[in-house]
Amino acid sequence: MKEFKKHLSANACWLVLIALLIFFYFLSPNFLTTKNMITVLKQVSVNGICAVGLAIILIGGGIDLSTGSQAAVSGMICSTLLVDKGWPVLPAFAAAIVITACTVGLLNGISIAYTGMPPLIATLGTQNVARGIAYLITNGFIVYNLPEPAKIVGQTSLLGGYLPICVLLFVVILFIGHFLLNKTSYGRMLFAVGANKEAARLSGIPVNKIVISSYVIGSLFISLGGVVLMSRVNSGIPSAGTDIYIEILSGCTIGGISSRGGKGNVFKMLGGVLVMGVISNGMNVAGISEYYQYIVKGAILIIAVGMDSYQSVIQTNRRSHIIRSAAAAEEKKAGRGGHV
Amino acid sequence: MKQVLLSLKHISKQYPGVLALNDVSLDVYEGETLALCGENGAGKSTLIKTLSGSILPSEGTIIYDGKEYDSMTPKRSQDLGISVVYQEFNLMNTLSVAENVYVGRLPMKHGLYDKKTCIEDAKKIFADMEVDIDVTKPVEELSVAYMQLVEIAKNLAKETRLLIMDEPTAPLTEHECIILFGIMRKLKERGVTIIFISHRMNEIFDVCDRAAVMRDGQLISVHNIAEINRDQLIRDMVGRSMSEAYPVCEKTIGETVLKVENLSGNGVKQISFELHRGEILGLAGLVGAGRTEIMRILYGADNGGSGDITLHGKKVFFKNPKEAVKNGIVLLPEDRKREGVLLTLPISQNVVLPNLRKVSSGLFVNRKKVDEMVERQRSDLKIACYSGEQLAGTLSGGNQQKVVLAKWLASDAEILIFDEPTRGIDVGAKWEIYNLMNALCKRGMSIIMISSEMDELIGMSDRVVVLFEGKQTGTLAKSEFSQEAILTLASGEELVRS
Repeated sequence: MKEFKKHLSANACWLVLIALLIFFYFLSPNFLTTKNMITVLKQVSVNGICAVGLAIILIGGGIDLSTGSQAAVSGMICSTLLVDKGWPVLPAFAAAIVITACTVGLLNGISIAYTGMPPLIATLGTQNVARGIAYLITNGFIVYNLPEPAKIVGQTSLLGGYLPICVLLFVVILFIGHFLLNKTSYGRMLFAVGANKEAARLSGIPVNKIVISSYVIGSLFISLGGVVLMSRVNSGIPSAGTDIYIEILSGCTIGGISSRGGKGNVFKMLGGVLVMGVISNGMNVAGISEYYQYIVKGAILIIAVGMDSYQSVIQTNRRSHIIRSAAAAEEKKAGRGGHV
Repeated sequence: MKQVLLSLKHISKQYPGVLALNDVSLDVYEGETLALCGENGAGKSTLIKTLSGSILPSEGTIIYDGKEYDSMTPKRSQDLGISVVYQEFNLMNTLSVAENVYVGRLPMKHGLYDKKTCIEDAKKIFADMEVDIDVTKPVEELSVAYMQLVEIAKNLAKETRLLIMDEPTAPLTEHECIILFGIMRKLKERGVTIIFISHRMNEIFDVCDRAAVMRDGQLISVHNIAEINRDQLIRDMVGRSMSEAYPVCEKTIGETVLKVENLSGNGVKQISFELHRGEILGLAGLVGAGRTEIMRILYGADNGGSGDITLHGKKVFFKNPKEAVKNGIVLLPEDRKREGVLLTLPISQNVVLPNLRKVSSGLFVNRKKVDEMVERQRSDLKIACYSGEQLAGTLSGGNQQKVVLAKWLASDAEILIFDEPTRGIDVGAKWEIYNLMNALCKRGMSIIMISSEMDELIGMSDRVVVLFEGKQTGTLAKSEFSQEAILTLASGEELVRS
């Protein structure tokens, strides 16, 4: 029974996903069609690629609210390089991703690691800074007329239209993320830092370097999401991706990437990202007003993070007594130093 | 002839105002298990920290394995095979047991993390320890005792010649202690030298070869366990003439104001006592015995308690601190800086905070009433400050304690719960606090005093309740007071009343 319960809670988001599919099926006949499901997957793949980046940051014990702005910056850099400078597609993609990660991502990482400021505030600041940069690149104008090869990743499909390339890319990114987090020593150090910074430091892990690099590596994935988005909408839009941060933060949390750090798995996260994708698309297809959609998405974020935090409260209470006495013992030792 | 592995020569550690270690010289033999005993704050932890390299001694040298060192660094200490199991946990709760054991030096294969080897190796270590544990489980799903075992396994996974354990048995149950002692014996057979800190006498006599006793930063004595008994050891730990005098107070102790019966919660069970008007009731026990925990239940700061509390003949049970304060019971917490005073606010606002209603007219705070209240408390308690507007954070420890006291005195409290009233307060200010406590009792207030300082308990209390690991092991009247008696009860031993 306990095992069953454990399985249930571990896979709850897949059950939620099925329930949502059924719910929207009854709400709108246009929802559960092959065409619409492929649309959902396409939408999810941009957010999903960004979510892998956010997952890396969350697992390292941080958080990033600037994800949407980062995606916009990289899309703007990329489209400008393609259209104004006439760069070929691959170098333009690569340059946009690397430049964004090494500016916005690095700024996030350094300010958080060295000043110890709360990541929430730091990235709230860069959210605005990066958005401003995205507008400044073209003075607010949208970049149209991308060259044909730039549309491949976002708009073409394989297998007779059933396998969009961006979905394929998302799957590849999932595997890369999983490999990075679970198979490399970097990934395991990231988990250690996210779980307990002080213990990680005492174990000889360079905590600051890990924290900074998590924001940079996370930003690489988020910026890739940005250029895929650009390719999908066929233009560089400075206001793009404003709702990315709330969707992927909810998606990660629902998918078991704890906002308290050190916990999570990108394959399980996929479930959370799909849940958010289905809710977004389902509400659109059912014709629910955009204003209600804001409320629903905000409420979902609060509920998801709230449930995650509440679980930790329960766990903390379970042994708060012991920990408090251990802490008291330590303080006594530290504070007294031969007093009696 | 036994080989000396570690030899401390004239180690001293001077902190500002405190000599934490005073000329300690100690030889530790290869392969022995040495108990390090002493009261809280005797200098045991400081001594350990000089060995682990987390603090540098002011004087003296360390000879380890024939080589002489001025000091250790964490890295040198690790390289030499010295491992320390600290009291607090350094675990990553969301990661698996196996990863915690090998964190920082995970097994790698072709440049990648080798999970399989990590799990296999960790399994071997626990099998060796004869501990049945699922090494793939995240640490947060373990009980506290198993967390302690993981901490120990972490150190066993390294090449260890000298293993130092700082009260490793504190969170363990009896059965788990037996497992731990089995591990210790096995390590000993393998030639590992162990330094073992514990407050529990029977453990020391069970597993150790020798016992070194520390007091006031000095090494008092070293005994072979076979040649000494418990009483001698306890006498060495506490036996010192009273260094400070306490103000004498002529007061009358009145009727029962508070009666507590079978109060449980926060890991503490069935505590009963009575508090009389004008009385100071001492609450003694070692760190972690549950003194603060049970007082937080009484005060309503933590939920989940049970039992009967009778205040002035009326049954009460406080759901939150607000109710307790309303009924005239207040808490002066041990951690003043975090829970007692608001450091960034002036004295006046600290004092007024729980008394806002008294100094308000309608919706507005009346400045004049505030000044009157603060001035009265300031002169009453002789708080040394240039004005009531001085920030509380700029005051000395003693004066901060007076500010905490002031805010409750202004609120007409009747029962004060003092948690370590003189922690971090210098000797002169201590005397003032003691005088104030006596003066309050004369005024008819009652005090419950949690203290870890023997002298203070004996010097100030009218009666002492002793706790050991969440249970009440005894209540002593003033005539029965002695350091030995309190320490015996606080170690969970039977007191033989003569």
